Amino acid sequence: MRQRRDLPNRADRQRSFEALFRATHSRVLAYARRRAASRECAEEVVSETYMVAWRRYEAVPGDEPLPWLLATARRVLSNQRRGAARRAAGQIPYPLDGAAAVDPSTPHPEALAERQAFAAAFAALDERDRETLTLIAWDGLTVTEAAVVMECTGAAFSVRLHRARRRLLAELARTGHRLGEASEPVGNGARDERTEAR
Amino acid sequence: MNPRDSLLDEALRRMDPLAEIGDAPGGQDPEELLALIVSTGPRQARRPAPLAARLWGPRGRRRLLAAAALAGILAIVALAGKPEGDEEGAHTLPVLARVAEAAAAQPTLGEDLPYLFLKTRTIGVSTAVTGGQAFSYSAPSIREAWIAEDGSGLIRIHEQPGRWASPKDRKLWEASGAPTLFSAESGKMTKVELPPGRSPNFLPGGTPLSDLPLDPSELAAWIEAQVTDPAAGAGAGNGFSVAVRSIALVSEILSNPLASPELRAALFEAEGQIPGIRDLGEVRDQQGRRGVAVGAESANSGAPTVYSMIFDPKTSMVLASQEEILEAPSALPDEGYPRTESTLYLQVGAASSPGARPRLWH
Repeated sequence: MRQRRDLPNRADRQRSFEALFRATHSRVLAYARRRAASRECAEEVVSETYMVAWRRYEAVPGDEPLPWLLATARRVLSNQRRGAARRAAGQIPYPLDGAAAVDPSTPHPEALAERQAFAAAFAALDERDRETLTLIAWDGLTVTEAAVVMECTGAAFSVRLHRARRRLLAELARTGHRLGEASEPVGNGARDERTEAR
Repeated sequence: MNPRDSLLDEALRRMDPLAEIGDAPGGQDPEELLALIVSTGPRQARRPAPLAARLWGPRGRRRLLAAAALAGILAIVALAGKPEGDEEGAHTLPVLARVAEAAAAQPTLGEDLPYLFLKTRTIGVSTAVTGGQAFSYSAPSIREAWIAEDGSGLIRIHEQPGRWASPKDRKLWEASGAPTLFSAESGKMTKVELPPGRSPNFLPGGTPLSDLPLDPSELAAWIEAQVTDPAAGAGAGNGFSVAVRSIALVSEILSNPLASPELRAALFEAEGQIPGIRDLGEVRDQQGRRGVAVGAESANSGAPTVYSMIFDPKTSMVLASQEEILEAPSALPDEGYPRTESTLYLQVGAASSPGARPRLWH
């Protein structure tokens, strides 16, 4: 394997990287904070992600860098979790592993019950289903972008998304709940509903 | 998106942990992090010690353990990531050996025509999933690129009118509230001016084209190393076979403006030695052009799919890289579902300046 050479124009490279960093840092940090055990761990993930990006800047797509960065962050996070699991008896929890323990001070008992049921159903899904759902719902990615993060084709991601939603509903139904039964209105989400696959 | 999916997504958004965590003060200063990262040489060791020491602080030992774990995992991925369909034993495909001879006679860029011109047409399939149903449409685009050796140039992308995969898809789209899809993009022209800098002389992993071996066997070994090394960024660990990943890598290098005739010839011969690559015989691409194809099959994307590269055996010009789904995924409509996606290489040549009419090579 050959050694890689320095690019001749270091200044251009640095300017370009700085622009990339400033444009994407908050999204990458948000992605990591949603999934890491602590803010400190999230910042480690972000640092590692951008170190990889800086080292391998030629590999970062110029037109759509965010999915590439999130895919890298996902791998770093996964390694972080596995490393932690080996060092300690327990595993760093996925943040929503404990999501059923919602704030009991809510003034809407029915809404609380629904949230608990929904969180329990969500926690029962495997990691891939949860990641598939949250890349869309939390990180606001399109199907095309999320497919890059999950390293699959857009069509495959669409299928995964459909199946993850179906499994989430099935989990909810298994515990005797249905979506939208709470007294508190659920969702007037007028987001961009485009789910382009490729 | 149907109402049930909207409810699901809204319920998920209400569980977004970031909304509850908030932005507590005292976190890492992004500008400080940026300054630390760029203060290191881009080609330094993977964990430059001064930066690591400053970033890691008192938690250095824990991070070192994490780094060791990371290295271990990468090693496991490299070993266990041997995916479906890989076969033992190298062989050479005669059809690629013949094309290699044609490739060696390719023209190169000159001083009077320093910009390589490449015109491609991408025919993709977009699918929206709503309420257990899906509707599909095709929204092709034409891309023209003029790129010089220093990376400067121009890219023009022209969105083409889209069309439904079938009348049923259109009805499903209407029933879902007719969300804006390709119609908003149709006819749109995007221009991107490329400043000098990110030279096409370098592959995505940072390897200069000039560093690639020209001996076909050595090059085949290099290709295999690239697609099995997670650090190389050529898809290792993504579940696809070495053969499928090699098609993507070789297609990319062959379409590089600065790949020399000698390198192109070696690439064809090397690809013929990658285990799992099959001669698919004479085919026609989606433009109707006759060519020969090599490729490999994989079900890693969720449906059995043939990934192939079609080229003109007389000129060695790549005509298309193509994905053909053999069996539509169960969640997608079987009838009328577009099964083939491709990037068609329509014209290749050289031009005097960005946007200038090119002198075509074929």
